[in-house]
Amino acid sequence: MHIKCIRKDEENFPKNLLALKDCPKQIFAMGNDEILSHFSVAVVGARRCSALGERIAKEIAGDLSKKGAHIISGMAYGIDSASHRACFLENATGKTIGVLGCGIQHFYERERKELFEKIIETGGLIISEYENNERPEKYKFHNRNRIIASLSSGVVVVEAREKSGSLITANYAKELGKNIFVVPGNVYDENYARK
Amino acid sequence: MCMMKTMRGSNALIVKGEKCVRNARDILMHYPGYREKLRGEESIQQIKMIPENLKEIYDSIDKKGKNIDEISRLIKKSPWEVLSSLTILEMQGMIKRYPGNIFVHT
Repeated sequence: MHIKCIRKDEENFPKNLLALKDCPKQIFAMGNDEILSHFSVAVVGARRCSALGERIAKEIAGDLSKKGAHIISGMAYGIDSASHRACFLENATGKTIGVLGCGIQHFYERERKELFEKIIETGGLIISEYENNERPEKYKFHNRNRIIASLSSGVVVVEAREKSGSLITANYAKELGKNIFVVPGNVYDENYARK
Repeated sequence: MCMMKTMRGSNALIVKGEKCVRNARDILMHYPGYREKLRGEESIQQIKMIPENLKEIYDSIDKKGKNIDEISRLIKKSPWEVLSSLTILEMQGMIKRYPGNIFVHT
């Protein structure tokens, strides 16, 4: 497993991250790190999403990728996974970048090997500011959301609950002056009852 | 509250004024490089869809615009025939009509 460590003072450290007040001292990367300097859009949303949300994420990420945009997301279940997977298709010119809230090696060994391998296989990239064997913790997901916002040219929120990680990502994007795009959701659900 | 839990957060962003999008095109239109490219591609698509019988009239119009009489003289068809074709092209959004019945490509 070839995981690169790219320090802040190195040439190929992503320039976007340098603008962060609390820029990481280094990032760990596995895969095609050349794509970091190209146009990319983050697509984020709920882990426990609806089938409709998953379909929308797949379509939007897929169409963006066909136009050459790289897709960034957090490798979580639900919207994140659907977005990454949309870039695995043959006509997807843009690749996918996964940003982790734990060490790269930890994710590979303890989490979703199949998604991990597919991202690398299709010319994508997996990065983390955490050491290879670091375990995930809540604050680390919070931190990784600022990396997602920072690396992207815009954040697409597909489906998000109140007080969710996706809204944190959108907030960071707002502070960094990035575009925020939101897919509207159904106003009514099956449990809707008028008073 | 009346909406799906998974949508409440995202819908609140829209209410606060963030950009509401339906698809990848809506997103890419906010980036100048992509905007020009998409408009160019869509323009080519639209031109390909013009029926053969209207192509001659469409092609006779140039950047400066032409009126019905000029088009009629150029393609040797009656003003009435020209006008009905121009109306169809206008309804399809391929041409625009300016005061004085001057027609230009959109």
